[in-house]
Amino acid sequence: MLYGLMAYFDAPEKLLRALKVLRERGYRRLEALTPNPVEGVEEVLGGDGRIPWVAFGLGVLGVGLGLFLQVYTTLDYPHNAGGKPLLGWPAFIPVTFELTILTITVGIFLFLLYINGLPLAAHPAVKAKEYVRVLLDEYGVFVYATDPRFDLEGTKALLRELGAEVEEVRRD
Amino acid sequence: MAERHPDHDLIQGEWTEKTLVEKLLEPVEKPPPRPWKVVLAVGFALTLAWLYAIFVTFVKGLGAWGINQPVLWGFDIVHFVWWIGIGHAGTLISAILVLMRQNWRDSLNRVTEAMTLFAVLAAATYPLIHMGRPQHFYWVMPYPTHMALWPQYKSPLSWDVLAIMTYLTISTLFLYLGLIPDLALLRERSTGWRRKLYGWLSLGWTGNAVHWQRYRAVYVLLAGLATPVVISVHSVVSMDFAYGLVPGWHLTVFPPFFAAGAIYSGFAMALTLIIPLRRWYRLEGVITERHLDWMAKVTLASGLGVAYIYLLEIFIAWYAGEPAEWAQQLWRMTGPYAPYYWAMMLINVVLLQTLWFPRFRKNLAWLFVFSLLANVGMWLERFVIVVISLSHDFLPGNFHLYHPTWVDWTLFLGTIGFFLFGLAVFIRLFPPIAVAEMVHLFHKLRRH
Amino acid sequence: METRRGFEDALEKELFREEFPFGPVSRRGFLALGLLSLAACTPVVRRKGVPYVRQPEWVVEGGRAEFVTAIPHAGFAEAVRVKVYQERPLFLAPLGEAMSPYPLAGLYSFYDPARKGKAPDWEGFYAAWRKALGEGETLLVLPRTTSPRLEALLQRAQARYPNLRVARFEAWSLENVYRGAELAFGQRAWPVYAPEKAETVLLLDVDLHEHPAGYAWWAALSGRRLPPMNRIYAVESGAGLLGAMADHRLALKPSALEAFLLDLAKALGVLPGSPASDHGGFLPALVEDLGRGGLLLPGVHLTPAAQALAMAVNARLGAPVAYVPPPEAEPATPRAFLEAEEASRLVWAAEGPLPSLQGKAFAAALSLYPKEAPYSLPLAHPLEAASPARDAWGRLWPAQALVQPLYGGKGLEEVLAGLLGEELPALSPEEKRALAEGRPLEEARPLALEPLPGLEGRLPPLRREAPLELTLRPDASLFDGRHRQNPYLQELPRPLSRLVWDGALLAGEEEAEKLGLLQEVRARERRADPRRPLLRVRAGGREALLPLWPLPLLPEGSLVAPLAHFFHPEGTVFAAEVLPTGRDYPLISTQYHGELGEVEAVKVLTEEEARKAEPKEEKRVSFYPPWPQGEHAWAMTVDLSRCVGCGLCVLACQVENNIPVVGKEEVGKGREMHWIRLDRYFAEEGVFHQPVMCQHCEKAPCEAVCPVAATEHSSEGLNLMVYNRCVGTKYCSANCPYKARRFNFFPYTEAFLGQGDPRRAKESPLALLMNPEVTVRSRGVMEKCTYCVQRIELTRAEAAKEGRGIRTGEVVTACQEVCPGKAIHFGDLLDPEDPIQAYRKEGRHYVLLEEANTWPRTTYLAHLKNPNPRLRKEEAHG
Repeated sequence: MLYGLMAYFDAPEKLLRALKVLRERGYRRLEALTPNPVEGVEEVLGGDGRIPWVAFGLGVLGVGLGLFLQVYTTLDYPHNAGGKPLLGWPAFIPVTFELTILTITVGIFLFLLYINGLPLAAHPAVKAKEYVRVLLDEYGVFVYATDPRFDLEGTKALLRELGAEVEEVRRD
Repeated sequence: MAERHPDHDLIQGEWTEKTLVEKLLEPVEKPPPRPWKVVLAVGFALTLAWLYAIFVTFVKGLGAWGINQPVLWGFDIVHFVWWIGIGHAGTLISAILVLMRQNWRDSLNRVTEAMTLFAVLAAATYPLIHMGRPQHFYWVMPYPTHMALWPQYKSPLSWDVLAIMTYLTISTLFLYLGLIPDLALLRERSTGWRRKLYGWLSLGWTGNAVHWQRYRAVYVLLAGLATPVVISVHSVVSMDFAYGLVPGWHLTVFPPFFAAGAIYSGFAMALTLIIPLRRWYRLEGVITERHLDWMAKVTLASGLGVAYIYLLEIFIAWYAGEPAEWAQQLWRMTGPYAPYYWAMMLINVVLLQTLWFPRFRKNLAWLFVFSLLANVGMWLERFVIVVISLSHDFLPGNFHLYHPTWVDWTLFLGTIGFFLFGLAVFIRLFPPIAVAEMVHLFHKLRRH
Repeated sequence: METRRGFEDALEKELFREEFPFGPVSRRGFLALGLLSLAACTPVVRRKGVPYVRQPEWVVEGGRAEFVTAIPHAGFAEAVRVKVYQERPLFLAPLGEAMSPYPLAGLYSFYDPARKGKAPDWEGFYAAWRKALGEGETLLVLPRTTSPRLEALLQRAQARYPNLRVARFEAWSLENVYRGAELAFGQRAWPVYAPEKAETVLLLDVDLHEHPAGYAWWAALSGRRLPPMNRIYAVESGAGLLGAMADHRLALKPSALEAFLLDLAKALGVLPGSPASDHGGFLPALVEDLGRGGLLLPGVHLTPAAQALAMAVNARLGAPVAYVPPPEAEPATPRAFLEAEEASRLVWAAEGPLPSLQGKAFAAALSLYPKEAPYSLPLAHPLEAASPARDAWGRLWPAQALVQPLYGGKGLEEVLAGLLGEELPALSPEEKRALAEGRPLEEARPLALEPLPGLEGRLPPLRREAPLELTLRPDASLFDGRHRQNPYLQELPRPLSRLVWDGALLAGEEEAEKLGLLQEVRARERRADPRRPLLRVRAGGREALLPLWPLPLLPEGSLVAPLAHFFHPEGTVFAAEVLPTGRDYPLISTQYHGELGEVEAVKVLTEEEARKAEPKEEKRVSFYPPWPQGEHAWAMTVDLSRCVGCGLCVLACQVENNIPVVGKEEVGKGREMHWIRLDRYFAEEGVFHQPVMCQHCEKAPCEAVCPVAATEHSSEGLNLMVYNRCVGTKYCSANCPYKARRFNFFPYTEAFLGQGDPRRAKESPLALLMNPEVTVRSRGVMEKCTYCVQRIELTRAEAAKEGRGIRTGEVVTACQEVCPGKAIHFGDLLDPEDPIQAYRKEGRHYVLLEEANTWPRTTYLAHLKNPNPRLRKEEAHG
């Protein structure tokens, strides 16, 4: 069974041009696979502005957690330690700070996994024989066979025209 | 192509992406060099000794150590602070230099981050085993008990617990996040159990360009978060002392003092590790003399901060007019521990000045020797702060010296062993230089 | 229901069978046996025997009682109150003003399983003794005894057994005192001093533990160490605690000291002639001061001539001294040791050094602890077998045994009665009444003595001069060695040297310098290296190996060795010779830094300064609102002017609060557990002692840093330690500016109770020594002074039962209870009647380390000195 086509480009500029062309031609079910982040991809494939806001939200949650932890535990079992006031807030700063950072760090990492759909057990593009090239020094586009515009020969020709080396990816 | 990138010489030699990747994966994919085997064996042996010393501590009690009535914190806290400090270079290189867009960090961040991880792990064992009743270590965590008791959050030790936990978490995540693309590459290049291992660890990373964008955003965000953490952790550690009344501890300058000292010791340890690593794995092309020069400069800058505060401490002790503070300062300079104090001054104040001169910075042998000395110097500094201060506080009636036992020494050598063993295993399993980032840098430098 | 009943019955049967392995016991028998005999039983019993499933009749749970008895030390009775809990003696407090540490520390020996030797065969011993008496002269060596009942028994025994010869042995003899009285008054007598009545006191080589009344003397003297003050002069050949408190001190070697006494007698006109020297102005100043109500307190080891001189001077001064008949029928002397060694049939019942028992036709040793002897029989502890005895004032005290002998021991009287086949009489009604009322059975009968004229003609020679004179003096802890088995005393730091677990040859710094050892010793001291040079000391034809401990206060030409380590049957002062051996011996002291330095830990004022001093407001800085105050505000004051540094507070605290002894090695590492650290400082004005314990700071630095809230503050101002919550980060102690906290580095208490083996702690009879109201701490937790919180709570409960509040001064801490100088006062700051208010308003009141801003509840009163202006001027010039 055919999964799709894997196109290998030798330069990020070529990739970007190919993505633009494919998008213009109406392809929707495609993925760009690159060995490192390529500047300008978000303009073609759309960016994601959620991360900073999620981080901010997590930060607010962390501050709240930190303060709640200390205020609650202090009031739950009040005792005189060294004659300092019960809610001596300056002493609460370090823990609040650390818990804020901890909450953001763990939260944002999990959020990253979530929005990227990781962990992922299998991916059709990885089945490509030459897949390792896109992790190394080449830039790949994987066009799914399920894309409505997909036409094995036509798409292959288009990709070749854009300067790619094309591989058919099939189930073993 | 016409004008060269200003950092073009950060990668030296004739490379293509392919050959560069091959080179960078060599430590993982090629049979290891002989020194690696030696380090692994020594590290493993010392780790076993370490476990034995911990066993002895648990079975016999803290009396097996040299700590005593005034000197209640000895090697345990000296080494705790020392290791935590060493960890700082990794986070600093990976986080702060990312924010500053320093290209030279890319060849160094992986190995220093790994260094951070093992240093913090080594450090974190000390507070656990230094407890009189380590079986109750979890009492410092907030958890609901039938006695309705909670930790006491006005204690710097409670802050410490969370600071170290946060630090450990963020440095682990940071290291792991950076590893994910390399793990995907290794997954595709390996077979057998390694393929399984990398497959599981890479979480199914495909190199999707959209994922890369989000990944980058989170990476920079974590770098931004790790930056205050790296400053805060040693500041919190310093508050263990600054919060106290002991002469020699009771100083408001401690947080920046400790942060500077941490960066200094961390860079020194990074140099100690990277100079031989570079030689053994023939990585001179990617870890160039310029890299080492930069590291030496950071070492100098942070070291100068440390040296400044040494002098400031003397001034404050005199200026404050508090008899106990001044007596403590004199005790450091003329007491039975004076050799330790003056050795510290020699290394961290006098010998440090050699790094002003390019001649010394370019001399790898000196740089390596100095990095070792600086590690010793920072160890001495912690010894001065922890042990010498406690041995001579307020009332002369309780002054007492500290004599470490073989358990203390074994615990120390053991953590060094664990650190080396961990690093050796790490660089055998994971590339010691971040491949994806180096390839990216290579593009940046060569394609312009 | 049925099954439960059956279970309980079975358990009860099980428990009671276990408790009485020798078969069923009637109720009466049970009582007679006493609960304490449990301790003597097998370990299994102890483990299972403690909790009652059913309360036996007449045994009151929580049964707390107090009994009066007299405990002899070296023959002299000390009247004490014994605090008993469920028949277990747990604490001793002086009945009168003061007591020595020995009865209190003796509680350890009372429970000590090491006392248990082979099962004592008393009948076999009596048979052998009677056989020996039939064969020939048999020597019985007794210690010093002041019991009239014992003397009566002895007379009867000697009448029945003509071969019974009696000698009395005591390494530290009082014979010279009696002989001095014979010279001065023509009659043997024992002087009883009243130092509280003297304006000027001259101490002649005497210390607290060296005189039977020593501790009481300090009780008397300390009352006058506050304005209007007495003035104390000391002339010493050694370095004693009493002498260290003197306003003026002259260090002279033993022969020079007696020469000084001769000069003094001449200056006062007791003897004709004029003084050979004015001793740098010391003598005229002293003579002038003695004229205003002076008193000489001579050491008991001075020669009879010197004793006579001192008595004559006292008589001339009209000093407050009374004379009573010698309390001992025959003076006990060290010479009896030689007799014992020569005797072919010997029963040794004395304490201290043990003669060789080899090669004798009959030899028996009667002692508290089993000895290597053909017949070794256990003597009873004074709490097990009591006998009436006289105290240092000549009063006769009744005594009562509180417990059946745990290890089959007998009292000396019982032994003699056994030999005679008699029964000792029970307590008479008068004795019972006296004990209930806490008074002596018989007051002293003073002798009316007049000094005989012509002393100068009768005076035997004084001590002969030698280049190096060695004095063998009792050790403050081990005395003549009789307390060697007592770890409490072994670990009680010795006066001034703060040495533990060992005796040393004390020498002045000049003397150490002459031996060429001072530099090395000081260098080792600096490195905290415990090794000290071992010296071969030769004196009077005997020799001993002793490590050297240089002490600043000793004069040139004088050495002091502890009797516990160097005994000589011919006396106590000898011309000596010292040879280095080239070997070292570790000596452990609890304090290495003796100089005060810049930190003003001890404040010193002169009398005038103290009168003029204005009460100083304590500097207290805080941003924080105060915490709500409880019903009481507990606080303590320590009057350094009344603290002689004897260490009784340390010992009392240890016994009361279940504080373990940790051993020489651990002390060497700086891990002693005493909650009270008695700091000693050498300064220009003299020696200062400062007990430092938890100061119960209102702004306690320790509390703020504990991550698990194991130490926190009570509303009544106590700094509480929650042992169960402690995880042992040690941060509290690191942050304590007074370093008043102690950490259990090892399972110290278990090791202490198990006598080295922590696993045997539970089955050890010593577990019964533990105060049940104080938690026994285990490994890994911090501990410290609690202000005897158990006593506060007990008093509160008693008061609540009676429906009243706590009365002023009702709570007495253990340290306060035993302090001979009454230096420690514990009270309530909210009680306007409490004397603590007045103490805190005194001009010499101060806070230790005020600059640390800890607001301690324990505060100090400055040490006062009353120097003679004339001498001070000269000292300033010199």
